[in-house]
Amino acid sequence: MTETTNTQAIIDMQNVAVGYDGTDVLSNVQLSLDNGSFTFITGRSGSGKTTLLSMLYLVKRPSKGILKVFGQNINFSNRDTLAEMRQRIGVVFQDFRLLENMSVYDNIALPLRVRGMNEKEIYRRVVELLQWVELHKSIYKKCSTLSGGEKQRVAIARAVINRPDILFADEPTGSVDSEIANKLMRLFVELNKVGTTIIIATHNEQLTSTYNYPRIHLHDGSAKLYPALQHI
Amino acid sequence: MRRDLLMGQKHEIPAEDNDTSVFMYVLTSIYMYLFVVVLAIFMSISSMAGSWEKDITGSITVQISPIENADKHIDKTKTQEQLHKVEQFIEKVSGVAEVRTLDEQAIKKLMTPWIGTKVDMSTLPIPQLLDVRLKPDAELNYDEITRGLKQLTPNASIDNHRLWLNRLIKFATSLKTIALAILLMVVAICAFSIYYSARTSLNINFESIEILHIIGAKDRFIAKLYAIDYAKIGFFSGIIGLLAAVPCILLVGRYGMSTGSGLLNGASLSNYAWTLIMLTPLFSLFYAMLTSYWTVRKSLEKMV
Repeated sequence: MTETTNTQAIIDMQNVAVGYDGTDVLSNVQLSLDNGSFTFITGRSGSGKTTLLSMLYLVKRPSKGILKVFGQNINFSNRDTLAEMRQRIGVVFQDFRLLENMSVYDNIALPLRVRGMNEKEIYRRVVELLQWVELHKSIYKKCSTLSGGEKQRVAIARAVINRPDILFADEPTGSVDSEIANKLMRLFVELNKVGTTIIIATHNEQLTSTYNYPRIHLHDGSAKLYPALQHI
Repeated sequence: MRRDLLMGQKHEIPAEDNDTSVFMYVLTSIYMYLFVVVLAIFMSISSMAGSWEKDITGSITVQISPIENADKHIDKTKTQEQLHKVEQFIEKVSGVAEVRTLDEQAIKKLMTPWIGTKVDMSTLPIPQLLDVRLKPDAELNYDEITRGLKQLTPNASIDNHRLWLNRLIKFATSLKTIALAILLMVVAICAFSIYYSARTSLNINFESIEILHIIGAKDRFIAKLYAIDYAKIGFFSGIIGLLAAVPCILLVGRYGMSTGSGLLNGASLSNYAWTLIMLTPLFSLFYAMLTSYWTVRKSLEKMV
């Protein structure tokens, strides 16, 4: 991971600005994230963590600069290409963003259905993953009936079912107790060990000090990269 | 439950469960009822006008007014002589297939609706009639025939039916145009309803759509989900509209036939017309499916 342009990086931002309605929340962001890295994005509430993440998982385009994901400049990518890139990305939200009227199974199966996978293979993969997140007994429960911790695990299962190259998590421990938070973090570390690039936005200082990974700190509209074990 | 899993796609956007979809079923059924009724009207008018057109292009009538003698009585012998001459003349005209003299009984039958049965027709100056059948695609020069007839006898005249049927055909054509305009209007209003309903559903389900986008769904995947829902609405509404419209069509047809008017004989619906009417639910299915698909694709393009 570097602060300069890296053509081999999985995410590369050059003088990127991003915001809402013509007002930039972040500007002149110049960062590169390597394939297989684990990075925290930190900053106070309103510092732009979610905005930066939403640009990185490709639902928001930068207002200025060049953003390359998987080596592709997203400014020049059409809607279909962006969708194909998103299929290689998993996202876990603080508020889970599940389809509440659907079952656990259907929520987790969604990314595979989007890719047009056959239902038999989907069933096999979902059941396997549900055992991993210990939710196999709730397979046909509606998401609206689940607890916060269970919803979080469904959200993670949905994010990783596609075996994504990059996994984004926006305040993943914000709605769960410390025990579940630690379980979740161990899960992210496991995924990172098998090669998934992990990017977690959090304002939880305890989390970032417990897990020794580099962090991008957002402050006053700018982003600065800090290596692991360095105080801000 | 397994069945639910296999049919999982139907749950991804819950358009089926909301009020908009119930509203669309009702609205589309009404549109399809109107569509079927107007389609039947359009096709029966077309068939009737076509039959008139066929009648008037396939035959002409020549009439010979009775010839009076000096004391102002009908000279039957002279009239018959003239009739015979005219018949021979007409038979030689190019394009004529058959010439038939209408006998007294046939003429009486034709006159009955106007003069009734109690009048002694022998005292009336009833003209003699020749029913002339033409060969297919025959193009007659009516001016030339009229001149030829006048040279034979000033009492002969030609009636190619078009003179009075033309007005009826014009009237039928106007009705056809109106019916077609109504058909197009129903189709257009139906498209607008689907458009606004799909747009509303997209707004209601904005969060679900956003999630689908985030996990990598392409616009056509989302549009396909809508198209499947609207195809169902289109098909079942088409069935309901058809079931409601067919009894009305049959009833109107029965009343039309019971008038006993020869003019309405050609207004019946052919097998082809019935096939088209029966295919309405399929038309409705594809129409709703394609309109919703197009609407969703266009709307999603405006999203990030």
